[in-house]
Formats: sequence, structure tokens, C-alpha cells
Amino acid sequence: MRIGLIAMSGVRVRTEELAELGVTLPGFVNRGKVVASLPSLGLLTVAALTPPDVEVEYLEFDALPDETEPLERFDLVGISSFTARIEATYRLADRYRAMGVPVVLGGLHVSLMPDEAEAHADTIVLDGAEGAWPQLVEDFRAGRMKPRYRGLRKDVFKPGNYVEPRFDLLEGRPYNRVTVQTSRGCPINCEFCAASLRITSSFQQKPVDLVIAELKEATEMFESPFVEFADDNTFVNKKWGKALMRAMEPLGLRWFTETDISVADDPELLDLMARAGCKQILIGLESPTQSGLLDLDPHNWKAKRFDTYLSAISRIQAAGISVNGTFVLGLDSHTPSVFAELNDFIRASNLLEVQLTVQTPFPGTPLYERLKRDGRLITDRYWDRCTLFDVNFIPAQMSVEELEEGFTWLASEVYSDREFSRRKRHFMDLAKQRRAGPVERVA
Amino acid sequence: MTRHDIETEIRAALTRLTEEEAAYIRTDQDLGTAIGLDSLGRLELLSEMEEQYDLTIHDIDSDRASTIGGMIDIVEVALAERS
Repeated sequence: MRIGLIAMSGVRVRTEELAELGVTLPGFVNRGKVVASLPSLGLLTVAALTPPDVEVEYLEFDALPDETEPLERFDLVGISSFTARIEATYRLADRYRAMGVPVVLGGLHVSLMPDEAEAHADTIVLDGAEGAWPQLVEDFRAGRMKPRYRGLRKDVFKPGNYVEPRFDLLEGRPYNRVTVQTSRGCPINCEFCAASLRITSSFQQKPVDLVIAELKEATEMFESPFVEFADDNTFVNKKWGKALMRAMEPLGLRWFTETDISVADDPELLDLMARAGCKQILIGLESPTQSGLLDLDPHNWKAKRFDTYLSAISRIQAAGISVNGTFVLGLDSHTPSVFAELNDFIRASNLLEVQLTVQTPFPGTPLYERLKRDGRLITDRYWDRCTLFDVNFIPAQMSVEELEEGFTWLASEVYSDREFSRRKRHFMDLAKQRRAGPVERVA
Repeated sequence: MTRHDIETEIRAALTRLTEEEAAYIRTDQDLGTAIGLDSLGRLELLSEMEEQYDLTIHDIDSDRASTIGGMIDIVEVALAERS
């Protein structure tokens, strides 16, 4: 028996003007390119959950033949996808089913929009693959596959549920980054977030020894691997974080992760992160004003933290870890003045990297439900426009055109050669200060 | 200051930064592939060169700094601007 596991990757900027900016301005689409070139950790996990007597092939969607050529035949095909590529996923699933090959669909979008997805699949997997996939394969072999399987929403890293992803399937492939997951979910729970917290019932952290074993396995087959943690918020638990950093230091890796601004509260943690090879952290700063952060998360955690943003960024970067600050434009409190305010904030922050996005109501999120209820979604089905750069809703305090034009203006400022050079200059000066001795930190 | 002198300094700084032997890297070889030097590492290396030669690099072209040869070019331009 052969199962084909197909990863969908890559998000395109659909707006022509932004695409042009992306070509000419440094940094604008870099993060998108990086994300597009990451292997699908979810499918490597599915592969590990597959019984050993079943042959598994890992495929990238972009490497498949187009619709004029026949697809490779499998006994069963599993496709993991996300909102921006879901329409292409459905077309691919339909092609396979027309060939008589049964299709399983999974991933975040499928978990959040199951009724829509099941029209294109023989079965769908909701939430994590753990707790669902082994039974699904057994049922398939017995000819009694059910239309839906629900995986675990908790305890995914506990013995009996946890499996180490099949990193060996990546051998010989041209990836320059490998992904390892240390946690699932994020307790902050922002209204717009369409990440793993939507398929977990609580924040879950992997034991340190399992993370270390995965890191060793995942990086073994690459010459100069760069590790990207597939987490939404790695350092929620600082004690666990320090234990992980101490265990990682001897591995001599270089890595990136996503976390929140509170890492700056703990100088010891920052020091351990730098020693363990942390090169960059991505932090969702979201807005250049405190009012813009109100009601973004249930406890107004980010709004309460706003006053510490600039000093925290300074402390993190002084420790030798660059910060990739991400911002969401078009929040309900944002007026047309937000673009200039954000430009000023970015300049004041000296962030090395900046990721500008447009608020995107991903289906299944609280934001989507609210905007839908208020009649503010521009169309009913806009999944291929969930690129983080396209406007799919009516903003509260500006027009759609003002948001689009303001975003484009801001991108042309933030990603200009001038501003990019200024940020790089700051980073180089910090490196000099580190070599000279302890850097004076902003209180 | 010859290109060879600058190259020697760059190789020494590369070894310090990456703890990898940099002596055998070709001058046209991509440093990311050869020795795992990412864009941030390239900026660190350029800042070391600024310190080493007491100069300021105005054109911080980190793409061009992806090879030893490109780094030498950048340092040479900055040295010429200084003098």
C-alpha cells in the first residue's frame, strides 16, 4: 500500500502594485519566501503516524504536474493545506478523486471549515493528526473509512500520542531551513489569530528531551541547517525555555522562532537564547498605538504591554537577537493616521526586520465571526485572498481604498533602501557595542 | 592595503564568527551554503571590518556580502571613500 502525502506551500501577493514593490524593495516578501520554502511538519508527523508496513511518499504541490499531465497514482492521498491555497487544494483533490484515488484532507482550514472541505474529500481530519491518522489508515485498509476523523486537541506530546516527525523524508531535498515544533497554541489568543491555537484546547509544550532529539534528527542531514521553530509562542514558560536553551547550546545551531515581548523581561533567558544560537525572533507587536491594541486579546495583554515595546525591543536586540516586528493594519481603532504613526514607530524602534500585514479575517476565527455578523466581509468566499496583503473586509474608520493605499505607501517607506540600510546600520552598531562590552540598555 | 590583506582579515573574522574553518572557502562561494553565514552574520562581519579598518560602510549591501569576494569589494570601496 502506498500513500502520497502532499504539502501545499507558498502564498502569492495578489495585488499587482504590491507584487511590484515586492520585487523592487528588499525585505518585503522575504518572510513569505521563507515560509513558502519550509517543509510541512504536519505531514512529516502524519508520515510518522503511518504504520511501518505502509509506503509513504512526501510531495510538494508545486512539484506536481499541471492539469494537462497525469498525476502519480497512489492507494490513498493525504493533502494538508491552509486557507490561501485551499482552492488549489480542492482542485487537486478533485483531480485525484476523478482518477479513483481516495483523498484525505487536513490542516487548519479544513478543521475550521469542515462542511466546505468534505465536498472535496473522501474523508477529512479535524484538529491534530495524532489520535486520528492511525485509525484512519486501519479503517481504509479494512474498507470502512469514515467521512470524518477528529484528532487530539490536547496531550499531543504525551507518551502514546507523540511521534517524532519523519525528518528522514527530507533527505536530499533542497531545503535550507528545517522546522521543529516545541509547543502548540498560544495563551494570548488574539482575535485574528488563525494559528495552531484554533486546533488545541490549551497551550501544550513538548518535553525538552524530545525537542533535543528532534533537533538532532532534523539537522543531521543538512550541511548548514537553519532551524525554524514551528511555534506560535515558544517562551510562554520561561523556566522551561531556559532548560531548553541550556540543552540546545551544545548543539551549535542557528535558529528562529516566534514568541511574545515578555522574553525581554528576563535578561538571563535572553542571554541563554543568544548562546543557544537564536538569530531572530518574530514578535506580533500589531499596532503602533496602545488604543489599537485594545480588545485584540481577551485580557488586553498586548495593550498592557504596549508601554514596554520600545525598551523591550532594544534589550532583545542588544542581546544579539534581531527582532522581526509584525504589524496588523486595519484594526478597528485604526484611522488613516495609523500609517504615518507606524512609520514613526518603526523608525524609533530600530527593529531590524518588519513585517507589515493587513488584518485578515481567516475563516473560523473570532474576527471572522464578528465581521461576518456585522456585514463587513466584502465577499463570502475570498480564501485565495487570505494572503495577509489583501483587504477582504470593510475597515471601521477608513475606506477600503484608504487602507490599500496607506498600506502600499507604508510598504514603500518601510522597505525602501534608505530605511533598510538604516536598520542594518543600527544592527551593525549594536554588534560593535557587544564586542566592546555590555551594552547600555534602555530601562 | 591589498585585497589579499583584506581577504586574510575576512577569513579570520569568519572563523571567529562561525567557529568553522574558513581558509578553504573559495572567494566566489556562497557563505551561507559553505559555512552557514546568514544575512545577520554578514552584517556582523561587515561591522567587524569597519572596526578593523576604522571605516564606515555606507552601502550596506548584505546580498553582495554573500561571498568573500563581495565582502572584499565592499571594504575596498569603503577604504577608498575614507581616503
